[in-house]
Amino acid sequence: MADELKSTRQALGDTLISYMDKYKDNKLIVLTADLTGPTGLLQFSKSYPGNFMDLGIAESNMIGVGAGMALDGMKVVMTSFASFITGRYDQIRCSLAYPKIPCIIVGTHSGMAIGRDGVTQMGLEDIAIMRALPNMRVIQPNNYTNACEIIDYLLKNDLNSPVYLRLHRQPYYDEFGDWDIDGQNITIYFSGCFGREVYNIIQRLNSKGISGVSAEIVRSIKPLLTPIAPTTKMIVTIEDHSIIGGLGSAIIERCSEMEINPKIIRIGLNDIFPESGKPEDLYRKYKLDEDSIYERIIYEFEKLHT
Amino acid sequence: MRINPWTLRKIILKMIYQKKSGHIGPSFSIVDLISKIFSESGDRILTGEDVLIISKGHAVPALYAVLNMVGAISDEELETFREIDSRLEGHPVVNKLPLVGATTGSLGQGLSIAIGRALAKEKLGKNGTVSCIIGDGELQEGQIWEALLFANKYKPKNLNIYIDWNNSQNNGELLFNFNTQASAIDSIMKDFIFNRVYYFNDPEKIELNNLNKKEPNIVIIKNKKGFGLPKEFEGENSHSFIPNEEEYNIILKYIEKNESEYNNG
Repeated sequence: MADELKSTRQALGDTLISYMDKYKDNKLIVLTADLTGPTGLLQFSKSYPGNFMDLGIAESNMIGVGAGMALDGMKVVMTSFASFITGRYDQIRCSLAYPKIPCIIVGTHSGMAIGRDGVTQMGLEDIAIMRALPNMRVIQPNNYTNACEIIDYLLKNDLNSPVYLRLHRQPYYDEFGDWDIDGQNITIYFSGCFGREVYNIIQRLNSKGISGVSAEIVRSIKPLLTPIAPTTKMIVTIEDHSIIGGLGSAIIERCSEMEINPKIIRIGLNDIFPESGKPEDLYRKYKLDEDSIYERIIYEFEKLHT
Repeated sequence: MRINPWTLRKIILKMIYQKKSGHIGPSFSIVDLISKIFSESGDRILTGEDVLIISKGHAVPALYAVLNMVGAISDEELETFREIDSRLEGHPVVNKLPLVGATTGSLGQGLSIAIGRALAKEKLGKNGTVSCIIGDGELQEGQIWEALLFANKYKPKNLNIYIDWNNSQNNGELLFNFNTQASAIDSIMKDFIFNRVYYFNDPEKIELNNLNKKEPNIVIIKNKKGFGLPKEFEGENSHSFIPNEEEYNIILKYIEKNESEYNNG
């Protein structure tokens, strides 16, 4: 199947399988809380049952058991939906972050993309919660290919702290090629599955005569490794997450530290819970589809230049 | 190793009194147990082969005290209890002091970690027993039951779970009575979860040398919070009370009397 049709949650299962095929690492253990299929682990659970464990609908226990296994030297990957796993904040805080336990915490079904199941299944504040924890890294790949690379890297290297890995349910593919790197007018920072939309938006802005627009994919939200050009006049951040505490906030924090003052527009969920619906309807209603984002950028850009 | 539980009480009392901070009652109620555990397997705990997790993390002074007695923590270091830059935090922190077994303090989490450690030892072919001390109040946390159900399914070998049944929690008497008897929890455990449940009515009569090594064990110890304090200080009020100088001297005298009786007995 072409990469276009694969999701980052599938990257989890696929990369775990290829890692085990190659290294037969008896220290690897992958934990699920009754969500084997939805987290992309069905094939892995069948191919490597000795390295897989279902702990049932008990995420708090899963986090503690994972912590214990890591303390005795295992390479632990614990998985659930982003909302459910980060929802056990105190367990992550006390059992993983404070003792700096090396492990991978995977939250799938991030953002609104699950659609019809509704808000309780959507990870919408998970970046904010995980960012607030010392010792916690926060990583979000933007498509299947780089998700495989990132997961492979995390499995092959000794971690010295916990890592929160934010994955997605939906298949997504983008081509992030050589874009106009002169971001003098607008720099777009996005994290997650927005590459195609951002590419299209830049083309549309260029056609409207707005040049000097660049884009950066942010995969490591914490630590924030993406450089910010001090001369850019306007920054737009895009995330399938609340505008409070996520990528947008991280960028604002960095600009403040750099003592620069571009106009900053955070695009995401505006401190509002969405609802059940088809994903495309949700992205349109809550202004996270390509047209809404484009119109918002035009509006803010024109406001800045009048 | 022969660990005098009264010496442990003396060390704990001094540690907490000096800093005017800590939990005397909960720490006192586990010293007989800790003394017995260290008699059985102290040398393996010190090498890291065995693991001791205090899920009721506020009772960690008992562990610091026994580690001081066996020389793993110096007297000088003991004086840094709850001070800044110390390894001896108010609740145990495993990456600072690996002998604590797990970072605990938010109740209900330590048992899951203990089970994870026991399973990992099995999977990796390591020897070693994992012991976990939980409080009876902690049984109110849902995660404890998640952990027990999980342990029942995967039955790690070499896991011992100790329940300090002192019929107390921070606010006073135990809120949910479990039919008011520790022996009732014993039957819940037997019928519902574990095959091996040991029940001791008197902390001073704990015997640990015939615990099963093929399945997890539950050991319930019926106790009084602050066991080992003079009668007037025992019980529900001993959770986080700090004695004044006069009270301190009364308690110290009482402990020292028992300490020498234990040594002579």
